[in-house]
Amino acid sequence: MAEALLEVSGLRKSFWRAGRAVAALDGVALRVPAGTTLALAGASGSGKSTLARCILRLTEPDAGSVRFAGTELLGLAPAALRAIRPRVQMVFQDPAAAFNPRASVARILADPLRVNALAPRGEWRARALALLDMVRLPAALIDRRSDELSGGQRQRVAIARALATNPELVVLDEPVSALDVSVRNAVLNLLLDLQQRSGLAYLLIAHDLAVVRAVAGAVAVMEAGRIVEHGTVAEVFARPQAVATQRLLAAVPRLVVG
Amino acid sequence: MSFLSVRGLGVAYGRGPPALADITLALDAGQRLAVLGESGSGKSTLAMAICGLLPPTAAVSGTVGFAAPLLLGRDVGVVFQDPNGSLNPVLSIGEQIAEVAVVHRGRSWRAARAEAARLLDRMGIAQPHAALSRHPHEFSGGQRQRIALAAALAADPVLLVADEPTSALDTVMQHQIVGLLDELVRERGLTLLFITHDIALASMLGDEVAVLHGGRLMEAGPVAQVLRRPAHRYTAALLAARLDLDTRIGARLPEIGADFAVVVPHG
Repeated sequence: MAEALLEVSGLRKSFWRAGRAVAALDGVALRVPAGTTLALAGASGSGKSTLARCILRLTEPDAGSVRFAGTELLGLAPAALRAIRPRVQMVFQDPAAAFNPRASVARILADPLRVNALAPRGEWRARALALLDMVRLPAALIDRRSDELSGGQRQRVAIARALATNPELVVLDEPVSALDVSVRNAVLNLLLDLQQRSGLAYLLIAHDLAVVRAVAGAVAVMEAGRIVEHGTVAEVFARPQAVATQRLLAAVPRLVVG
Repeated sequence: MSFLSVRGLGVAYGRGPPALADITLALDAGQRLAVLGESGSGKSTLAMAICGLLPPTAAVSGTVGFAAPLLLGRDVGVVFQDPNGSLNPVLSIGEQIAEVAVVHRGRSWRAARAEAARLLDRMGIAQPHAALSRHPHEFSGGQRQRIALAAALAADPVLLVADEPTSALDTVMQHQIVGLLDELVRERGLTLLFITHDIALASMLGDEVAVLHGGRLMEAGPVAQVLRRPAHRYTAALLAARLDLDTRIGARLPEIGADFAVVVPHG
């Protein structure tokens, strides 16, 4: 099998709690081929956010391997890591917490260009406008402060910021769970369109299997720091094997109309 | 007279559009009303108005009336989205739950603590007697919501107001808390006011549903009627945009556009 865009294996991470080591990741392996979406599903505390943080090296794992586009990221020197960073981006659950509330949209979208030295200052505004168009926001928002935007608009700006560096992989950490129902589907459709257009890969962290079903091709279910089941969404949803998967499926709210 | 009647209720905070305008609703004793709305719909303002918890600066018109006078904390129990808002971090959970029965029902501390342990046990907290002397931070988010529920029910209220009690929890925890709420309402013959943004949860817990948008009541009625034959385009749009395990894999999802029109884009 050819190497996928992201290949994780044997990933371990323990935290100290009350004087003893608790395994947050207990030997995790997964792969995300270019242009595809893998959903990482699990209840709170199952380890899915720790896994995402270790992949991005926001948290240092104790052992294992994280290979991105053929390069081992663990133990990579800071300069080499900085060169890889623009190719892997992240979108968080709460867009309000991800921005400086006083910063303008123009500034938020220019930051990744400035930090990664991807474009000269004179091009920042034009690039920001192009990014707004890409996430279907009106150009007029460019001089607004992020705290003047609605939740749905803020999450689109967060997606635009993630796209500023032309990444190959975007880690989406509960990207729609703080959004209103009436804007959620438009944001999910936007993610699907962006993937179709530019061949992005997504690692989607979600606890709601209805969202996973809507956007992911493959799913890995986590429990207690391990992946207990993985496969295509069609397979896993039709014939869930692990108790954790069955529990997540049973927990999706159903419409009851008497 | 109904157990609860809200007539022509309007609430405004300072200038700008009102948080609620012209809301009229009634609820009978023992019924469950789900108030369904998104952010800015005024659903939490409605819950606060019914509990008498609006800030003094709010400009209120219309009336909120009960068939019999009710006292908050004694006759009306409240749980919020964030259990940390209702639990005091420096007091043991036993003190907090027992205090409600001591203050409102004149119980002795000894009797109230024994009752608190029984309530915690009912809420599914392991080793309830030992749990009494622990503090809120020692519990998970789902456990804290169970503890907040125990405190809300400790004075044996007739009305339980639950304002988005599961939206800070994962779906598995949410499923458990919704099941627990359903059982408690049955066991205790409670009247329930359940505030939610999730149309499926509204259908699972409500007998009646009131749909709010932008501070106005779009429609209200029995759950089966409103969700089978919605009278308002907004309710129909919420139904169309719902995601569940029947959603087609890989298809573009219905979006809600201007005037609540539902559009399915081409992928």
